[in-house]
Amino acid sequence: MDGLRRAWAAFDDRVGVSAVFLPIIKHPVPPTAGAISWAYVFGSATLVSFIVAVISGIPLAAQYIPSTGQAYQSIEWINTRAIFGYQIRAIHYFSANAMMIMIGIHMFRVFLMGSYKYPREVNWILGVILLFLTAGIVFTGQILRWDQVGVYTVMITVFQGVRTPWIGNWVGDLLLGGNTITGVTVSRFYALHVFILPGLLFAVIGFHLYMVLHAGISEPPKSGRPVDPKSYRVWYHNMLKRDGVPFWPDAAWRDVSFGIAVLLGITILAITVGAPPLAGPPNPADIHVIPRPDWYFLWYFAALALTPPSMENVVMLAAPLGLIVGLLFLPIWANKGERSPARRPWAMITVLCSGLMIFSLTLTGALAPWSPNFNATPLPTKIIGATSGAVFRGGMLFHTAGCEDCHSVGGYGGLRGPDLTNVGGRLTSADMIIRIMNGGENMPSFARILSASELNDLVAFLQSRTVYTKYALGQTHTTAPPPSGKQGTSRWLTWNTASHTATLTLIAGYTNAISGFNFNGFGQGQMVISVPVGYHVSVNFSNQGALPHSAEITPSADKSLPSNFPLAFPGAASINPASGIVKGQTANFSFVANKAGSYALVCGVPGHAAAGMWDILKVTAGGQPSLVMPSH
Amino acid sequence: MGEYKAPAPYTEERRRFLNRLSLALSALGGVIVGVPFIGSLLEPILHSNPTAWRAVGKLDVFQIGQTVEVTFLNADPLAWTGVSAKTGAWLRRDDATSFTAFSIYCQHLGCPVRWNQQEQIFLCPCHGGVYYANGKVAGGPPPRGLQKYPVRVHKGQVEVLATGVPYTY
Repeated sequence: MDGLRRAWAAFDDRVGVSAVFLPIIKHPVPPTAGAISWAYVFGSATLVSFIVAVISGIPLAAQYIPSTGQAYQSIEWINTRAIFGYQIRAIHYFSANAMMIMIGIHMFRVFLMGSYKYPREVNWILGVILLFLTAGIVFTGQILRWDQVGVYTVMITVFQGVRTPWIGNWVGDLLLGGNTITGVTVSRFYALHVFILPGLLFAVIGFHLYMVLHAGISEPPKSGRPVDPKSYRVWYHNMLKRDGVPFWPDAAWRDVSFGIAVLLGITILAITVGAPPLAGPPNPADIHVIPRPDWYFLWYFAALALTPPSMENVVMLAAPLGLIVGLLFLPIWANKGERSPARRPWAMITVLCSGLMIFSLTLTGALAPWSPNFNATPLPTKIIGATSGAVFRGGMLFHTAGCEDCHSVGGYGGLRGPDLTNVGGRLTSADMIIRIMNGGENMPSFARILSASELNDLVAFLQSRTVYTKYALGQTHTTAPPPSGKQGTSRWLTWNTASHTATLTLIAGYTNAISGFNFNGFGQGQMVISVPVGYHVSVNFSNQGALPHSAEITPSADKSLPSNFPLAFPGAASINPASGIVKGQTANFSFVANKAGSYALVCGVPGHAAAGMWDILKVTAGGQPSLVMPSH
Repeated sequence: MGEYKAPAPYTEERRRFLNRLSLALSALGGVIVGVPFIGSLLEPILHSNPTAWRAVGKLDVFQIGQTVEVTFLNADPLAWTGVSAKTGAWLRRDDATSFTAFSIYCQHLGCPVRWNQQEQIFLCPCHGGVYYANGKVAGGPPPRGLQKYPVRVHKGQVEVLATGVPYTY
């Protein structure tokens, strides 16, 4: 033991631990008691989050391949095969989240307590720089996941950046690394996220901490004790000499405790929630992606979405610039006077309004009511309130003509446009026709899309949308005489002979038959669907198979083509049949079987029909619809 | 330990000169390191961007009046760009010999638009931008219509000119 003590004494003498380091961590700080003492922990909590992010980032940097073509696969490997890989990704993600939250609270705390005033103005400015460096590193981190959302995050940033006057195209090219997504796009963001931004963060954090030591941590503000630059330094120094307590351990224990609590929080969230999921391979040509930023930027996403188009450039460019300038210059024009929030009503209002704005915009961004609803399913008959006639046809058109993408009836549909559940009580037929034919600021004109009879049916349906319709459900509507058509129902096919409509349910990959290349469990022509000529067929198509699949109707002779099947009827294909939809997705479509003959229902993804994914559709001269499957 | 033999101290004038010399040499070091450093980071705006015609299918595969998505490689992809080297376009055959190719990037903020055959419109999932079949803005925030790629028919193949993301204002 004595030998150890002497070895330590020698080391201490050479290095100066007792002479230099201990006095630093024991430097005097203003004594505090009660809840206010805990207000000071958020700076160190931000630093703890950053350290956890750096430590978790190092193994990721050792396993991630920063190449546009391989980044995604390397993350899949980290997720599934690297020991602790998935957990470290989760810790890295939640430590980044923690850093964003803590830096926000820390900034609001410093602002509310007026700690940015003399003599701590420079430290505030350094903090603002740290805020934007943090936002940058967290943003580039999401991009580095380089999944479909990552690709479009870059694309959307580019489209904003190019609006910068004069140098817009340069900004775009610098972000992309060229004039399109190239091999260096990911490498550049990797260099930013792993080298440039961490380097700058280390340097500015060091400077920030030095400034805390040099100017001293601010004492809690008191009403009636304004900051006077002429006398503050002397007053503060005397106060410390008289009442100061050593930072370590009198105040530092709170920083350590809260820091450990943050670390525990990160770990628990990482274990229970897990790493952010990958959205799919980074293929810019895939049109099914719905790009969204991670949650801490949803408020900015919502602010941009809600800005009127005429003001967009101002909001996109001038507002961030104004915010940066405002934040940086705050201690220049407000560096003295009262510090207590009770004497600073403008500070309180600013914090309140900013907090409310960020909170409400985040909620709105999560809901995104300005996005069309691509998953809208056709209105059920109990909502339409009719099973035939103009109102029924209009109710079907409400889905097939695309109204339901943006409008809702009875809770079905999109939020982009006004809710039409009770529109019949608000607008006359003439109003409706004008609106549908002319469109509006956010609505296309349907003049070239709807025929005259379709328009009449649609208006009849919309006119029936009143509060009274709810009480009339179950009765056939009185605008047309009750039909006597025969109804058919089966698991897969329903029809109505009076309205000449049929609804076909198609599930790709329903069973493992033919290695998954089946519709409803049957392929190679085993399932035969028949509809009489002139029937309007709605297809509810969904995919339960492991591979992407699509569905389209093609002439029977063309079913042996490898790909690019010609459509037998307009609209008789699910969206983007060459790529298909993935498991769990739905892509409904409809068509009119206006020509008799023998057709094939095929999967349009290249090679699938040849592997057996085809069945038979017969359009007959008369008779009734039917669907025949071989009995097991 | 004997006396430390100190050389004659520098004059203030010498100190002033040495100060300036050190600063000037440091500045020179900064330039020597800085020029290639900054130049390399700015490389994307200094190099020229090629274009290339890309085949997207045989002429008779495309039906007149139908709009389909085609994918093709960028003009000058590096070998390690992988699946991200692909670009998409909505291709419509207008008549026997002419085509229109729309870029899939919405002109508002670049999200990919979806063609809806039933409604004959392009819909953007991000902020509700809508375009008519001819690419003109039907509603929503896009400031201009969908951009087009040049298309030609060459030796029985339909080819689209890969020109890079159409964001030039």
